Amino acid sequence: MSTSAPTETSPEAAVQESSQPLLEVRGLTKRFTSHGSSGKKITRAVDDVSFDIMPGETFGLVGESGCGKSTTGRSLLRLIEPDSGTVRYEGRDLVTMPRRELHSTRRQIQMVFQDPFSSLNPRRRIGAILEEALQIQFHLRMSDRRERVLKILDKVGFSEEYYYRFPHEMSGGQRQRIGVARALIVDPKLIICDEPVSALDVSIQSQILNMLDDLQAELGLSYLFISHDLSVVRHISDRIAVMKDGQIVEQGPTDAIFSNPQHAYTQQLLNAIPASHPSIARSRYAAASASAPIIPQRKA
Amino acid sequence: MSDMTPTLLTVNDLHTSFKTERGPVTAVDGISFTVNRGETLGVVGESGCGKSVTADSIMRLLDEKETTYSGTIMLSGRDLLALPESKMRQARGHELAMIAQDSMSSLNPVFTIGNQLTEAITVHRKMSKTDARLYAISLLERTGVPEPEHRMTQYPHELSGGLRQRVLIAMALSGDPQLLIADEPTTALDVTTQAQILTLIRDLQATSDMGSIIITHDLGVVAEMCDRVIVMYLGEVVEESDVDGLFDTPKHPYTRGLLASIPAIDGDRSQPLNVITGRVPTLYDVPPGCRFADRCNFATDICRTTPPPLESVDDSTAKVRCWNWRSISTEDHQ
Repeated sequence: MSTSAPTETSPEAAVQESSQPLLEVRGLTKRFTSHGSSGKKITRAVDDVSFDIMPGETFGLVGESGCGKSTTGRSLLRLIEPDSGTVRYEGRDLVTMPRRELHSTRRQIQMVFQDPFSSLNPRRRIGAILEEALQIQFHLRMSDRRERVLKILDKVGFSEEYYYRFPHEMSGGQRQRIGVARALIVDPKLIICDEPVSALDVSIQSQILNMLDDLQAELGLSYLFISHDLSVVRHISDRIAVMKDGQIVEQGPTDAIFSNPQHAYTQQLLNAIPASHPSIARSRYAAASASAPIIPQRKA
Repeated sequence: MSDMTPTLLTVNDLHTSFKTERGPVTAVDGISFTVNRGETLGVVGESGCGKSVTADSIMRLLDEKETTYSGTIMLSGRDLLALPESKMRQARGHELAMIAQDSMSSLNPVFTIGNQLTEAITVHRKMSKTDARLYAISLLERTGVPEPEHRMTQYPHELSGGLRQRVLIAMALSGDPQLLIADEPTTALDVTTQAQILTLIRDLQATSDMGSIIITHDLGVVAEMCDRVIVMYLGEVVEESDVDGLFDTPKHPYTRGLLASIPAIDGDRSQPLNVITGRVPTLYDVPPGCRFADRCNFATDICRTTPPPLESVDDSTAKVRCWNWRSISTEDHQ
């Protein structure tokens, strides 16, 4: 998280260093089998993936479509059953955990999805959608539930009036704030954000990113932030893993990955990011045209 | 072509309105701009600003039972809006062509690439089938499609998104258009594929005097591709500038807000991003004054009552639609 990134001297850093990882993923693997005209084909969507997420940290998982980043996110919660590997949350392995126990642990690990429209029930009011999430995990009286919903709505910047709204009455950005509210309402420690801002316009995107930052500072949340957008991942993450073909090819602190990428694929990804200023684009293009034919036949 | 004027396209006071159940809405509300030969104009804005409707209006792709146009769209001296549909049909593809965002739905899934490309070619050119096939292969080569002969026999679903986009570009180039309109040409693509497609479009432009319009929400694509830019907000142009001016000295509060809300790849990560508060009003409910006033940190009384004109910025070619742009710019220097 960038607004309060811990420095060497800050008390948070001391706490973080001494503490155990909140989530410890080791050797996570998921294979999919497809039957095509050329016979059975096995795709390793997630292939021996290992990483840690520390308390209060944002861990970015970045890669292009089909690299396995979303499958990784879903395998952690066993929304997709992984084939092998361990996912230790506060020391206990989610992969081998009995369903019942997994159910209650899921309260502490919530998800926010890309498309805030298809992940909200169109027939229910916002208040009911949020209370449902609460009902599944807690046994509260109706008045207590309502109170909690209003408190969470306030946290993501909505007045009481929105309790009675339907999802279709809201804009994309507002719906995504409801998506975050639904994750927050059960008081999780870790939120898996799967492309949470990809469907939003840039001015709305910044609202959600700032909100995630603020909530983390206030509540000490950890995020697994899955995205294809390197600029967004860079902005929000403390550490980053780059995925390609189901594997993590490189991971490290955000600044190190961006200033000194080690893996050829990371370098290729970074080079492909559009320039932030036309003068940069011009000089890059001039350099490229000087060393390549006008119409390159090969892939960049 | 060299003896022609440099101006290829002149859009003057274009209005595009639709009939809807809730009454008429004007999605494009009096926009004017030009595109010169060999030049790339960027049209930037967020969802619903009218940028795609502008593209569709130039191509006249909208259902004309539901759509009313006014103003003029002059392409090489002819007003496209005044052409009968039969003439417009000849112009499409030959004089102006378009690349859409979604390559999967722009290609017919039940015909091969070769079939679709040669069809596009023979519509505009008197060619034998054999010649059209050879020309199609040469177009695929030109757009960097590996193994073009083999691709001719393949169906769209057998190609990756990047390759399909290259096929669409080949198809757009098949009529040798003077104007190429690309509506979010790389939005559906991965970043490495996007870089390849942007390079391709730029290389193709470098070897022709085709003018182009790139419609995008992505200011990175603008920085990479465009010579000049217009920024749209709720159906209007709010700022026009050469590309460096837009990034260095944006004048309109909306443009400034947009630029500040993107996490730049070399930006300061410790700063929160800029947020443009509120939301874009709907077209049913266009504010009486400046359309951006409700969301603007610099708004004054006049902004809420009187629509600002699009005025020239001093002696430059830049234009801005804001009552207070002068005082906002001076504030920067203090």
